[in-house]
Amino acid sequence: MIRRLLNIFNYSEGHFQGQEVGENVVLLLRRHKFTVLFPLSFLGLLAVLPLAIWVFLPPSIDFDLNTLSPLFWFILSLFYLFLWVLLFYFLTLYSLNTVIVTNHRIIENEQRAFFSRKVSELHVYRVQDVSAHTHGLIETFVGYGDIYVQTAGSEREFTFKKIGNPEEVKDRIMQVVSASQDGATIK
Amino acid sequence: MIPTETIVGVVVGALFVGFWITSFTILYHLIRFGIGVLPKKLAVLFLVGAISLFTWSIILFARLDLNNISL
Repeated sequence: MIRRLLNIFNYSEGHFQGQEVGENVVLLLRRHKFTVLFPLSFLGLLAVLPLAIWVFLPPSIDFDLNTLSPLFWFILSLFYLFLWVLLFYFLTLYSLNTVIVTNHRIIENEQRAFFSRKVSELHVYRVQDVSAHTHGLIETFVGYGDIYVQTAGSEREFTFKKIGNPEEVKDRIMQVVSASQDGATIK
Repeated sequence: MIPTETIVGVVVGALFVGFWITSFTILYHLIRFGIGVLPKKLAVLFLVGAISLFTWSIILFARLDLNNISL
């Protein structure tokens, strides 16, 4: 029972809501972890701020942890409750912004904020051109960039932003597109 | 006149309710829209942390003497 319950943490990598029969997930992409590092670092700094104030307080100020009032500790606990929620707000947005490449479709889930969501999809047989763009020093060294997918005709271009290893992902998408056009199955 | 104890109790109660509404929203998004393993792991981690921090806050609030508040 417990093992079956814990299976949800490693079983569902290749499944998603609305998956068609015979549709296999080839790639599940998220933005590069570096893109979420800035807000998380800021929250980390805020989290150690009370400790830093205590450490760097001038010796002239008599500050003993044992003499602090319960109100101080209570306000501190509220501060950490707030930080916890804020931390997971950023992590939720990070984890919900995904691009799923299957052997049939490419689906982009864009979560802008709570209750603000956009889902776009295109069939791989309509893909004509895929290109990877890396802009600037940081993106080059860290290894992330944007992927542009051009569909047939005058339809709009799909852009997947800040994806890790964009060249490898571009090659993989092109493999899926080629396999789809050849009628082959890709795993 | 409304006693200080009541005002502080109502304000803190509202903060705690706000915290759990936001927590529910985060868990709802992670469970409802999450794809893959990462959102599920984040949901469990968030829930455990939220319950722990909330318990810590409740204990500290219970230790407050609301009629004699000082920093």
